[in-house]
Amino acid sequence: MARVKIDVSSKLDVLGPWDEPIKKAVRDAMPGAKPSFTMLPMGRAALVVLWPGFKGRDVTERQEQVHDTVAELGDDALDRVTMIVALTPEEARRGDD
Amino acid sequence: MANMPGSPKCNRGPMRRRLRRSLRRPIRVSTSTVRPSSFPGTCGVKSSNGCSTLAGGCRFPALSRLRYARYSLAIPRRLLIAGTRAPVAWAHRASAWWIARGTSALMPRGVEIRPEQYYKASVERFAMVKHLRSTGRGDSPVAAYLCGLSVECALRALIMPGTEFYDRHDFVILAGSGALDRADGVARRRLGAQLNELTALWRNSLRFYSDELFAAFCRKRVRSLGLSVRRGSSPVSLMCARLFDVSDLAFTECARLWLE
Repeated sequence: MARVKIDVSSKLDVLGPWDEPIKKAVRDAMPGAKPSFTMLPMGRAALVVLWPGFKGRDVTERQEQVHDTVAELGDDALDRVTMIVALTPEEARRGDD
Repeated sequence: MANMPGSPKCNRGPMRRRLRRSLRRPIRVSTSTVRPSSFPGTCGVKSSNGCSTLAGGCRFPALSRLRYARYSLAIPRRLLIAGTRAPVAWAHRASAWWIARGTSALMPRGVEIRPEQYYKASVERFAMVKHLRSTGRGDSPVAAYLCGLSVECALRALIMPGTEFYDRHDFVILAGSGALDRADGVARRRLGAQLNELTALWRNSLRFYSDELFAAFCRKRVRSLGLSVRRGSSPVSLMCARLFDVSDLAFTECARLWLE
């Protein structure tokens, strides 16, 4: 079971109209990526991006890549994402907890 | 003489059968005895819409307790009361039995872990990691586990009071229920990146890893994160050093938020 649930991405109020545009921007910038939103307490949203292309890249580099992709949509979109989690599918896979 | 019919030793057969039968019998746990209030804690996660299924969590907290009960077997009450030395397996079953009954020996009814306690625990766990590293045992699965544990405790200390207990170990959810709200823009992004790395490097199951399994895990992660192993070093020491550094940063960030 994945540490961050990525299979189901529920529609979040906090994202407003940005739910799909953000995911689409990530998918376009990173072909094969699986972006999803994880709902955090207090009604916030974390953007979880699973992409095999992250393999061999430092976390800071990954964060910047996703951040820049979302930032291209504007500050409004960026403000709605509280946290970015960038992992390879292998890193997200887990069999415990 | 002792083996003659009628002697006490001869009655051991039926007794053993009874014991074996009682050990095979599963405990019946009703949902009324297993409830979240049986496991008091002050910190946890409550999402805005009341859904607790995030991070693969259990929708009903009580059901996660049932996992303990699922494999447990009945212990003859006589053995527990008499204080008979039961084998280790029985001790685990006894523990599971008490957990299922809501009277856990691990967390007795009425004991609550307050944020201050979580913070103290995080400081102590991190001090333990430093001690392990200073004594040359920093490259062990236990040291790696303690790195993540100290951050988890620190994040739990920052959870908003009054929220429901969150029994899983997802850094994202834990941070999202308090720490991220307390941090400003830059600090939030910094903490987010640190927790991203911890999510990639750390597993709650590290405490169960043998050295061999841990070494394999480290090799995978080092490759995944593109870290280069220097000559004379090993993936294990590199991974442990990295884990220590990132947990140090996250712990410091959380401590700063706590002290503010």
